Amino acid sequence: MTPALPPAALVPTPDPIPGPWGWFQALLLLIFVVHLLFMNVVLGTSVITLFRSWRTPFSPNDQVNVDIRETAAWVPRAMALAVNFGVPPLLFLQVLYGQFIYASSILMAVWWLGIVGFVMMAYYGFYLYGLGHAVLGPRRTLVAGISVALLLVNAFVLTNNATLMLDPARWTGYAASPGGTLLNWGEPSLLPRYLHMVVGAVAVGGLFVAGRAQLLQNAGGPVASGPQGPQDWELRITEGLAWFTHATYAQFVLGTWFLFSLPGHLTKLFMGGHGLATGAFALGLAGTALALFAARRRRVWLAAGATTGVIFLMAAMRAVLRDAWLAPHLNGSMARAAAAPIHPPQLPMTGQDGAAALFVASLVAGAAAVWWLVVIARRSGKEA
Amino acid sequence: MQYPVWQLPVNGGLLIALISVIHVFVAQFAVGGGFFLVMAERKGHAEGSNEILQWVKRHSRFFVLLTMVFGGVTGVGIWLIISLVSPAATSQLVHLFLYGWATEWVFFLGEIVALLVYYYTFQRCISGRMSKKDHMTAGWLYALFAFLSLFMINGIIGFMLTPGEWLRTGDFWDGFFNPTFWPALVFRSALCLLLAGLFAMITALRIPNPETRETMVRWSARWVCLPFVGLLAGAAWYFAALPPAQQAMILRRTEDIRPFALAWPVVTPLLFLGGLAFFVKAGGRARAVLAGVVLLLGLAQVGAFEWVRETGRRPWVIHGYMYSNGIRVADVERMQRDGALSLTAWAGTREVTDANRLDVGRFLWAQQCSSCHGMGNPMLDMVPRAAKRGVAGMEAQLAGQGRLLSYMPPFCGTPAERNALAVYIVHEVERHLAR
Repeated sequence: MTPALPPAALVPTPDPIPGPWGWFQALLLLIFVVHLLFMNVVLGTSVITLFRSWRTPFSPNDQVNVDIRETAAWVPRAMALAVNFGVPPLLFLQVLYGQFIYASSILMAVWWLGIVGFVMMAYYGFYLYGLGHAVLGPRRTLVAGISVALLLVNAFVLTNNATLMLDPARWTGYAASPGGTLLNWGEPSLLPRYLHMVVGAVAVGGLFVAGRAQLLQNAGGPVASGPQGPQDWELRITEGLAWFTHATYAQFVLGTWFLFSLPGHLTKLFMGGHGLATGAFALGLAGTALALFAARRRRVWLAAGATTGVIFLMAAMRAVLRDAWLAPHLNGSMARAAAAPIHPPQLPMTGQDGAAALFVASLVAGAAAVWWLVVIARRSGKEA
Repeated sequence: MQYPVWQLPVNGGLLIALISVIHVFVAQFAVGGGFFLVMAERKGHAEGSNEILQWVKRHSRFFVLLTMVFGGVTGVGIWLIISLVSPAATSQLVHLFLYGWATEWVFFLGEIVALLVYYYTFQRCISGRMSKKDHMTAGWLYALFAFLSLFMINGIIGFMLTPGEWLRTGDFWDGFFNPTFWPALVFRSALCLLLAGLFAMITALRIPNPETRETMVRWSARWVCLPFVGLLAGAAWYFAALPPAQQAMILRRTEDIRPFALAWPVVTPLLFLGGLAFFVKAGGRARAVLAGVVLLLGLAQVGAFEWVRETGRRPWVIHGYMYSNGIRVADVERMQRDGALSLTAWAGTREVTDANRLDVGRFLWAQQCSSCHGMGNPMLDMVPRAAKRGVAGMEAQLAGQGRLLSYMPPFCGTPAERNALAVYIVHEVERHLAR
């Protein structure tokens, strides 16, 4: 069947939201930033590890090799947290934009479900890598390569869905491809958006490498020897900051490409058309300049702080872009829901305030427990 | 009914079942395992046994590898697959229980951090760089968070089977603390402890010192055997708490429920006997084989229970509110009056014509049948069921659904749509038979 599907009518009527829209938007934004930070560490550090494995002659006990492996050992740990912090954004996204994300996910269901396998295999690949060179030996580069490839495919799938959910006009591809294999190839912003995210992750990965070296240097960790002879942690910091700086410079090209690949009226949002979007964009550029300046001065924590701020601003811009892109369909579907409420046989959604209180209480208690756990772990480490 | 339908070569229900059973097996092991780890560590400290502590440390790595990532990612996998196969039901569960899911996420985060700290500081505890009290507290926090995760999920899963008063009030708490909440919690908690013992027996078999190995294998076997009291009591309470319709559905034992409903009472005592067998001294190889068998029995037990629970809900995904194909009771009348195509634009047409009859039938099959039925593939395969029925017979079958065949949802559509679906099914069945 290849009928013409009318895009606007394809958007389902949303279910009622159990609280204020802005509250869930704020939660979505805040936790998504944390997810992005972990995800960037995972992807960026993985790419850098692959490169370092490839360029560094294998020798099990050489300090550089040890350093590469010990840095890579953080990838699976960060991945567990990236997956965990990916849950709430997906949850809040489904609550606010379920009528879009469910539909787009189904259209690319095979790929969407595939991310479960991609993430798991990449995790075990880097876990093996971090176990010790006795396990993998020189094959470590191959294992890292496969894991990085899986993560890159994973990122591409996520970018596809992030763009496909925004444009019901592209959903019409379902008529010819109802088996869940659709990808959003026709979307001009797909590739620049993907590269923007991936290269951004590499920049954060560089900061992670530099930050880890800085921490170990401060703690008086063992001195590493470089391939050219004895060096110290400064070499690792230089290497990490170089990755950060080069990737960030590349972002000026990729970010510009991304910005101008958007539909014209959306590009203009960031160029004076929308106060918040334009302000966030300007601040983001300033923050990026500050991060680059800090990196040049070898002030790792300032660069990391500025980059975190930039990521927050970028996530806010992304939220503005999403709402602007979806505006006609979002308003239309919500108006339909208001006109003909489909929630339960004439039932109110009660008990939600108490449930919200439970969530907030669990969040406070959970944060306190996590804080205490981190404190005892650090304390015992310092006592070494 | 307004979402697109993922038109799969296999039925979506089967995919959900596969991912869910594996996840539940691992996730419940993680819950019981939290308690197991700290109790085993306490034993190690109390006896001053470095061997026991080293084994608990190795065993906790097994948790990091298996439960934290495999369990966590397959958990997300369930969420993804249900949203692909049953988007309307998933949306309903997400919107209604948003704060429940969010709370569960907090507990999952606490679980991960506690486990990471517990594992990565174990050597520091053994070497005296971290106090036993702090390390044990980290372990207890892991156990607590894992249990609280189960507590939250248990409420939402139970809601789907027995929504209870929620159907009348729409209240979060009525849905969460539904009629089977407490019995299911008792049952699952006992199962979690049992599974923890099962996995521990496997890693305990690799303890180098024969004496310590024997002690810990038997100690782990106790975790398999003792929870049976709670398991059986919980199962009986659980069944008794089911409303008559759900009980009848399970007792009816339709073709797909029967093997699982019969397997559970067979596998369960075998599992108990398997646990007991570890109290008998035997060679390492025999025990390794036995451990493998007992582990498979555990998987079979979990799989049989989850299958019966899921199918006991039939023909609903949320009992009394939404059918297993995602059609809400509230929509049935309209769909039967105005047509199934009237509620969705995804079919690309609003009416059945001679030219599009097969295409409409295919869409309706995907929309209303494929969440449960396969076509030439496993799980409620339509090919043997519809063979020799003919279009008229198939139409009669569809017309009787929901009334004569109460374990199936009613067909929701106009007579013309019903005919299109019948034509499509017969066409596909004949095509498969001709192969």
